[in-house]
Amino acid sequence: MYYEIREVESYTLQLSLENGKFEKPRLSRFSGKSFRVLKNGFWGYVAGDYSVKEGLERAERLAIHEGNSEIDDCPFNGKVVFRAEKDFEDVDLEEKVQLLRDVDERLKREGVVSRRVVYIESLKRVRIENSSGGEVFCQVPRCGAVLQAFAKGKSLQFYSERHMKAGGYEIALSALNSAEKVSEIAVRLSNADPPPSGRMNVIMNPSLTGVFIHEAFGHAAEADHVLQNSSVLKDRIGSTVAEEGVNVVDDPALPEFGYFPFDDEGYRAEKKMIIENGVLKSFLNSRETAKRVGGVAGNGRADGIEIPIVRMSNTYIEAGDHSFDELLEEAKNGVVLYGSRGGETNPATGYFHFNAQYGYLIEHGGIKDMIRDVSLSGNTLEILKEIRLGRDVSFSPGFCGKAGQLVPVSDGGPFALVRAFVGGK
Amino acid sequence: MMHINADGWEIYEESVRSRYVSIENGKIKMIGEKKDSGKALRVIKNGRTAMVSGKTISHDLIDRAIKIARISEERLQEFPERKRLKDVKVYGIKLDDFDENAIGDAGERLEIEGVSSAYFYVEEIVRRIENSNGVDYEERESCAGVFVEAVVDGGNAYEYQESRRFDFEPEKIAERAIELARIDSRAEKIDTGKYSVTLSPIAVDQLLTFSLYPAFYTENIKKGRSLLSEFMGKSVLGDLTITDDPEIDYGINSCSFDDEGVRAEKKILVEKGVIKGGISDLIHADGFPTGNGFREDYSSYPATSPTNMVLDFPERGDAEGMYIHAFIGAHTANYVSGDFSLELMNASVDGKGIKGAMIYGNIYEFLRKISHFGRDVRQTGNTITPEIVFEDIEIKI
Repeated sequence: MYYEIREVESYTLQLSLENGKFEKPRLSRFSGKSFRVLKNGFWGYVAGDYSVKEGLERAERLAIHEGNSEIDDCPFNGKVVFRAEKDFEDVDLEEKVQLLRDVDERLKREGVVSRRVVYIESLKRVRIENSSGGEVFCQVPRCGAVLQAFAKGKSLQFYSERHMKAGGYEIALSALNSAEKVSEIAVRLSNADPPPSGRMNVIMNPSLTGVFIHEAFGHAAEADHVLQNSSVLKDRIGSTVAEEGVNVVDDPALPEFGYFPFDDEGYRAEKKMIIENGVLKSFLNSRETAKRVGGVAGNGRADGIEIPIVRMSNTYIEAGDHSFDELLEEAKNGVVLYGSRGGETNPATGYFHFNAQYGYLIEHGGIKDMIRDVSLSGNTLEILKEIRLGRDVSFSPGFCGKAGQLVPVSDGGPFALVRAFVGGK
Repeated sequence: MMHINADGWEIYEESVRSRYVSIENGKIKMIGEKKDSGKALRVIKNGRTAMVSGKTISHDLIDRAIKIARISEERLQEFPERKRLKDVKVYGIKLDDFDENAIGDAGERLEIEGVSSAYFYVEEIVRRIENSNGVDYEERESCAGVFVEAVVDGGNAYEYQESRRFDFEPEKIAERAIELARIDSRAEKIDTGKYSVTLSPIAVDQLLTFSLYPAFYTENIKKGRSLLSEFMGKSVLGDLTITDDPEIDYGINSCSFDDEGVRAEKKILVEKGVIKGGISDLIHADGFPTGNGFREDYSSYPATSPTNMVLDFPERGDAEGMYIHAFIGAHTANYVSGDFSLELMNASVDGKGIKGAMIYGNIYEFLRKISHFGRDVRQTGNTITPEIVFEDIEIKI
């Protein structure tokens, strides 16, 4: 019998400024425990505030069936406390609110009808021990700000940016620099027209490339989907799934928003090459999928005391060798799209759909009018077979939802030229 | 009762107990249970408010709440007063009747070839709210649900059902998902063009939840994030009627009071196409909250949310044309403008699956193209509706 005990403590402070008004201040503390037992290949899982003895007894009592689950029970021991440059606990509440005011001031502009700035700080402490002798502890602070401007012109539009990372107050301070850009884009967007629709050349900016690789490819590389028989990548390890030169990586060790030193199964986190030079090298794994599908565990993550499931961390496409001008020239006609309003994918078929925040028409290799309400869809594997990559990678933070659980992640990549379906009028 | 040095206070408490079973690739894999509870305190100090939450409300948390409230600009004069609540049935299953054996039995009903993943759960929630204005309400509610994802020959689909009672058959939900996946496995491309389109209740809920419902929130109307400020009192939605009704016995979002202690009541939002009103939480209500302030869990700030949105239309008839079971990416719709462009999931014409098609438009124009409603009403998410048939809808490949 294998068992695992997890204790989670978290703290979150969220401050919002809505049209200059300091609203919805919220401070929350959470603590909880979970216990799980694997017996006869079947899992019993208990989340609740029980003693170790009672929690494990309850979990064992639930493991009444027989199943085919197995795990890599490799023990890890260690303690990691992530040190921020500027601890947010050393900054007064008043100073944080003033930062929001400074950002908000820079969001003001003719045409902007509504503004929102949100400051978030959080601290998560997790302790995990298991029956094979592993015991890990980690403490990770996360901090940052979300900026949003609504503008009214020919239509009502909004644009937003998130600046969030593992770290301290320094991350939130960096938001000051992008406030003017956020309001400027919102205003221009409110006077933009919808794009043409149809299959065309699309240059995705780093943020959108990141969302693409996360949504459209990363989820299919999560090995629980392989066990569920619901991944288009099932049986594809070792085969070519992307154009030569394409490398896709998941790296929890990067100090981005998806950072963690040990996953929520107490397994050491490390960089994984998912695609190397166009070839599918490995899936992302939990302790169970690593044992059953093959691969290295370390991507089992949980929202609070929910059950850990296979998740991404900081996922990105490595840079290629095209300059932005070369990508434009190669595209000739089409669109260049920036940012994401979220997306969704079907890992079973590889079809994805997401909306960009804004874009521009490309005509004869040059950037023309701005476009709004533009969506992008296609089939992942078809797109990866023909992709041109730019030179610089950057990351965008977000919260990824799966099976009702939200975890912090970041996605990244360079500018990338693909052929996909663009939706518009 | 501990001492709270504020002009007004409110304590919201939520206790959740649940038991569930999960299925992986046609085989039962795990039984789990959860017991969690927590409290949130809101205080009012000089007409300003702040919120803190935790497993318990310690003196330190109370102090932090008051400190934040002093500089907060979230204005609130007082918490709601006690009122006589309406009697609504929301407790229809006992969790204690579902021990590990009973939950396991329900899981075995989902051990069907083609089920790639599934879960079945039973949950009991007790909500309690108390405030300095005399409110002290408590409600025990239950929920059971099943979610199934199916994969057949590379085709894929999902289906789900939630209810306050165990009044559904899990295997029927699984069979429906498998049938949709089978149709999907033989999906083919169709031509771009205009079609009559029938949306399933799931598709209707997905579309309206993200493109329309937030436009009814008083907060969005006041902050220039909703077109309804222009449309109020005008006929803009054809013959459609929409009611927000928390008073329906065993409705998934039925309740006798919201998570801010405001009595829940039925409201007509759209009557035969005419926009009649909005919904609001306490903070944005200008003194007239509609009983629509809800918390995702005890630690989230109350925010406006619909309860059961009941859709009605004068004409009833059969499904026609292209049938759309669900959308991919519904949350990307823009409620500010009403524009959406969505990928279809499990769409079919005459039982033949369609591959890689998209629908796009503006929700206000779209809802004027309703031809008729179907006959079998079902609740999914916040929406209670039958299938809805639309005419003259452009589908792009």
